[in-house]
Amino acid sequence: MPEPDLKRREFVVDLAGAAAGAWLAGHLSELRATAAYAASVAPQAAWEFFTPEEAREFEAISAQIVPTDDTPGAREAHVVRFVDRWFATMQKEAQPVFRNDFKLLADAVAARTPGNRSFAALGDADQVALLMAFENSNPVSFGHFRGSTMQGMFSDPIHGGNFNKVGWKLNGYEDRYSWVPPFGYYDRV
Amino acid sequence: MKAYRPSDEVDFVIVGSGAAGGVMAHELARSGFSVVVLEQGPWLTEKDFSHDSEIYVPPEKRVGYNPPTTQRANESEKAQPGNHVSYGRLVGGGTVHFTANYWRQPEIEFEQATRLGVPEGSSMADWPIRYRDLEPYYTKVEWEIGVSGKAGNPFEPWRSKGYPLPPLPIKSEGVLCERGATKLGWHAWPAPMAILSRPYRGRAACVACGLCGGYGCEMRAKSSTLVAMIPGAVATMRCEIRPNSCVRKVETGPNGRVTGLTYFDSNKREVFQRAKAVVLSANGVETPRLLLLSASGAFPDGLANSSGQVGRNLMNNPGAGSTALFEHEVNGWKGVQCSRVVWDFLDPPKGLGLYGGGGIDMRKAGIGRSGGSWPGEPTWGREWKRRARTYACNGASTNSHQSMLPVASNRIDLDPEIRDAWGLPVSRITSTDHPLDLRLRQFFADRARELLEAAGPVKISDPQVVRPRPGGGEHLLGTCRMGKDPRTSVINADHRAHDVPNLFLVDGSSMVTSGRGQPTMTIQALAFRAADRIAQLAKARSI
Repeated sequence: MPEPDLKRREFVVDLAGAAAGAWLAGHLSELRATAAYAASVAPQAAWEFFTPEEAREFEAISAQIVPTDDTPGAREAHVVRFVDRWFATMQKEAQPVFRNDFKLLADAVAARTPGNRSFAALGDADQVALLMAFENSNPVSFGHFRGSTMQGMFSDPIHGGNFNKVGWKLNGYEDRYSWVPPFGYYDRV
Repeated sequence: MKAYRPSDEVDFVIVGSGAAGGVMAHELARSGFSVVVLEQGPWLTEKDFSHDSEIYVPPEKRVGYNPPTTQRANESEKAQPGNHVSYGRLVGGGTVHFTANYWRQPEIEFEQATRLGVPEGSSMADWPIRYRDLEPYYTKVEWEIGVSGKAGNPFEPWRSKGYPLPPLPIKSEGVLCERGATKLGWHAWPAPMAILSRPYRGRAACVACGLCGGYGCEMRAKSSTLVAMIPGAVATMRCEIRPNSCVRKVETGPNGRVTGLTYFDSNKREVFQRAKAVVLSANGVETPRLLLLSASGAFPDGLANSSGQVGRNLMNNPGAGSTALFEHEVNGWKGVQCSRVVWDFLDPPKGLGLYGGGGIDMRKAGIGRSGGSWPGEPTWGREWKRRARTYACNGASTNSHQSMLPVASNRIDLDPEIRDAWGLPVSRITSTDHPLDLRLRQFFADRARELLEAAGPVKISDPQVVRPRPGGGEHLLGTCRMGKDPRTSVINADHRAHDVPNLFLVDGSSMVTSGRGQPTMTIQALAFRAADRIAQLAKARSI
């Protein structure tokens, strides 16, 4: 598929609310640069755990868990890169479990769109609806998708995720590892 | 570092290098004795403690450990496998990664049987020592280990000396705690912490990095025995630390005295280290387990177990707390875990039907900065993302901690079926809450929520129980308790086993009662005192 990421983002610009759309349009070149970087890195580096098809599927799943709206999301954070490395190394024993989670999701997709088992091939609204249903029907598997996405968003960038610290910019964390008071609003007397 | 041969009959071999073992090594070596310390975990340093530890710690660098165990509520059930207890498995033990709350138990803790009576169904007893016996050693802990705090808390027992270091900075959650406490007529006080607020004895001060509880300290500011005791022990050139050494059995001779220890070395070979005396400081689960594993013809029920109390009277420090979100940023993720304490109920008023007591502290929120969420709100998607920063930055928690009654049937013993990787029986935990403890826990859960609510949050959770598995967790206490009567205790007031004159037990298993929370400072005070007593006995040739 030719550059599905950029096509999806332009689609979001058309349908997002006015304020978000305006922000997004104004920052689209910034996001394109990030997405272009993501696209340029991803196909070149070989996957350590995912097949290319699984990588596309997981990227789409993670992009719904932490969507791109007026700020970067899981896609820009390269969450899929982190999770690939994670299951290739630290979570090696859990590989069969994760592959089974993929199968269960593909079964749910096929039940909704007969003849198609690809989550990534669904439209945005269908993806959200399917994930909400999957969260209820398969909470453990969904928990694995959500948990690994969050690890990929907020872990140290040296592990491949949280690219450009977009995760930490989202949740207000700063990796200075050395602070002097005041630390927050209430001790700022 | 001094290196002994296994055939050298060293004065003392110590099992464990944590809160108690580290102190024993330091004090006995400095008193002039030859010491070998056998530690089952590795010898890490601050260079191994990286701030990139959120989720990606290689196994050989991990500081926390959950051994295989089994657990059941009572003797009529079959115990189920799991990993129910948690401790630090490395040189320094749990002191490397603990939260570092360090405070003195109130005077009543040591004499509850006399002053309050013995509740039905409990094995409550007085300690064979009193607060006044331990007070000089509490002071020694503060000055030797390095504790930051402010003297004068009206609920603290009397002290002979102040703290060596001022309190750590207050943090926003501390300000909120003061706000709530003031509103309720309670008293918030700086949390005394075994973390340096200033440089001290060649170690750096805390820099509030935020990766504290659960992690080793890069700055050497957290006052683990790894940085505060082990270096001084080694510097005497009389003390050898042997990491990656898993003790299998305490060996005894025909005269009923211990002769040394058999352990698996780092190459998994069995080695016998000779010693004139043995000190077990392996924690409240592993010390009784080792005694039970050391059963012999002379000690069929386990070494030093003529009382049948080895492994019995297992206690923890239960607790429950609430979490809240505030209007503005708290940023609890910066800095140490715990900021302020409220001890108005350390010894609760009579008439509430409570036995024991506890405290409440204010700490960083349990929501976390890796995708936390809030009950009833979306956990993913656009709506979650809108709130991600609030979840990560605007939260704070209250956490209560309290005492637990000793009950003889709450115990550690050896599982009859399940074995660990060494082929040794795992610990089996039998534990059920006493009704008075359930009442105490509810009281503190309510007070913890009350305090947090009085601080004025935007939203607040129901209490979450901190200790869901009876008998498990990190505070492992009471299982080889002190006492004057050899029929109801395992060791005497010198930590000497009633049954074995050259065997000493010094760790959480020594405690007669659970304390009202966070026992490590008390365990270390006991260790400093035990080392004094043991050194005197050794010099008088009484061992």
